[in-house]
Amino acid sequence: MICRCFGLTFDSTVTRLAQRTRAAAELVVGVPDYDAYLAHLAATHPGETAMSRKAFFRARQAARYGAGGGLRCC
Amino acid sequence: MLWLCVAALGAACLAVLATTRGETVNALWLVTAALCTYALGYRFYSRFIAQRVLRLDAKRPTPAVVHQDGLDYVPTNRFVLFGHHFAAIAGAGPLVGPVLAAQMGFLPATLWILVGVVFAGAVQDFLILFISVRRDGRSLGDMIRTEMGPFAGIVASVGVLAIMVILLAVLALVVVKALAGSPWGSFTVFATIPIAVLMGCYGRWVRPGRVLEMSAIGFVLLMAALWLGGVVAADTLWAARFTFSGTTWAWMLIGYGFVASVLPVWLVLAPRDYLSTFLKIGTIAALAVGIAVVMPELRMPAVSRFVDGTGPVFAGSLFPFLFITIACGSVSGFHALVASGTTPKMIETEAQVRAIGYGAMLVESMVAVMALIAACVLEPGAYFAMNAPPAIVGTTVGAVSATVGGWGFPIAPDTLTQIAHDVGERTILARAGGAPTLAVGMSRILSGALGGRGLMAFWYHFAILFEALFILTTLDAGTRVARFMIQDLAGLAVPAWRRTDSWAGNMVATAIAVTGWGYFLYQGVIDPLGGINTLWPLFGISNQMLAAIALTLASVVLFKMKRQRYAAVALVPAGWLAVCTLSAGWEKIFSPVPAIGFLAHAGKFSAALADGRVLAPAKTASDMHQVLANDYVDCALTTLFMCVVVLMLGAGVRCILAALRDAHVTTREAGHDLPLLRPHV
Repeated sequence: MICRCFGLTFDSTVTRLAQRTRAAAELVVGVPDYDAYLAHLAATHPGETAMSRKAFFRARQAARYGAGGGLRCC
Repeated sequence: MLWLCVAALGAACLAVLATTRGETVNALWLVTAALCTYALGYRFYSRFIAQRVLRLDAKRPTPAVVHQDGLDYVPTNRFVLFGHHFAAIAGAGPLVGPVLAAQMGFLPATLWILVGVVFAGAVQDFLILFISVRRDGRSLGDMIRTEMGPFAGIVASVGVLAIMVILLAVLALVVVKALAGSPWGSFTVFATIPIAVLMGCYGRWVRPGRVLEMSAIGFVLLMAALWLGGVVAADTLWAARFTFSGTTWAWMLIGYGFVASVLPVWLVLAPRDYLSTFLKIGTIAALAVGIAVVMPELRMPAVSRFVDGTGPVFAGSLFPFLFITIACGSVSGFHALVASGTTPKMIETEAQVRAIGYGAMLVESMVAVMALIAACVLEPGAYFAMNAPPAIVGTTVGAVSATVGGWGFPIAPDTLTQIAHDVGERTILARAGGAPTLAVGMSRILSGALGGRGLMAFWYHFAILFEALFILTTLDAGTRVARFMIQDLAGLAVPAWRRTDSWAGNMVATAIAVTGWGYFLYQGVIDPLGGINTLWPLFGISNQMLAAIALTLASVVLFKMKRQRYAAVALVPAGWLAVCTLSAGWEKIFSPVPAIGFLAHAGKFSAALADGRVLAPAKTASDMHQVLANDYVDCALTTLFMCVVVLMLGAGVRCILAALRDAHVTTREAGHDLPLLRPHV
């Protein structure tokens, strides 16, 4: 099932594309990418415990509709 | 060479549009003219602004890079961010304004949508996004405070709060106009509440954070509700249960607005926001495809007789009221709030500010053009029958057909009945407000592309549902935002008010916000002229006022940066918007025509009251007093808008003069001279 194209395996290209599409669609409604958050935390603050996916989602939701957020256009 | 061809093609299309008289013209000419204008504007004008005026520096680190935290500050792929930004700026405004403006014919509206976006609307979004990126992604209010002083900051805050109130009232009115007396529409809109709750619980407990899954489930349920709505409307007993008058809808929306904005956001607000955002983008794309496939003919004349200001849809002459009416489709002050919100915190490099700030607004303008097309594919007679107030055209198909025919737009009474029947409604008369007209137009276009006449009723109610859904989302999100603003402003006097987690403060501030927009909504619903007639110009004035404020800030920043050679880029549109809002405000207050001027209208009613007569809509003398009170409130609000514009212009001129006297760059940018960086949470 693995075919080489442009130096990437077909599987990984499709998976990556699907992941990117999902992240893009989620960001449209203001939910940032959880994996990117984990990657950032691991790279810059390796000691810190990361929020779980559930906690991350809840915190982001609260931020979007809390004071100073949630603005949309007419 | 390529660009010369584009320019020639655009000019040719505009020439075709401008010279057609008495025959229909294909919508593709309009689409092509618009696309050529956008391409030229983007390629040349936005590049000029990027390179010469602002000198964008791709090497300069953006807030997303400097403050990266994986939460608010995240460097984001530009295409993804473009989608995010567009979803935040796209709303109901550009769908409603152009539909109303179509009463003057498609040409004046087209010209302002195109010229306005290239030289004012997109420029504003671009400049504000740039200014915010250079200041750690600060909000518009914050930037006005730091660049123009605390007084200007407070004036701007009051202005933004006032625009929120009038915006929510007018959007709620659009929903009332679309749903009053429509069991199908009412049923589907009711159904969105349990669907949202179900989605919210799914995303909270079953599969936390799986936004796409819950939206897909919600979409399927929504389509089921849409189908069920048709069944409900066909059943006599159930149809009667879901038929509500305009005033009932107004009270339900007021109650709903209060409850929905104090409930936890994950329960109703957030899931419906996800659903409506995806639906909005999908519908806009479907409309674009529909227009490209069907290539409809525009039946509205290029310029109608109503350019003289006697039109039934909105009162007032071409200048300034056409500009005020179109508002969001060509320049929207609200975007200044979005462009200084989440987007500047996610941009990867400064070079991308151009594509996202300027580019996204061009797409928004294309949405306005599509709304205009949808309104103009209707027979002009049907357009006026739907949008003219019953007080002018009458309440039966016979009377409406006679009046509208007398204006030179013949339409048979049977045709009006047939259109209503086709879209599954009992009547399409007196449905001002843009949404129903757009829905009929969209159902023509989409059923032409898919499904034929049999699916027309489905597409009509799909379009109504899509508009109602995202307007209701705006209603509760907007009420929350207004509540935070009220708490913030009240906190200036009593600091305890600032506590947004306080339950009592929450309730009181929410009640104030809901009372504010509820008052104007109710006033609009009982207005014999249909309400939109009075309220939409007020909304337009407030929106353009905010744009004038944002462009004033941009002008001040350009002078402080010592880029005054190019300050005209912001000064000219700021000046134009100030002239538009001030002259429109002046006419709304002082015009001797009662249909336009609030004082003249009040004069007419107080004269009648003195003679002991009762004028419609009033039925008793106390109703008459209520009408008078409404007139004076509208007057006061318009005066407030004008004062805000004048004060902000004054503050702007003062800052510009101070910047000119100083030999140095006086602007405060992050990393240079920006004090008190807000600690990000």
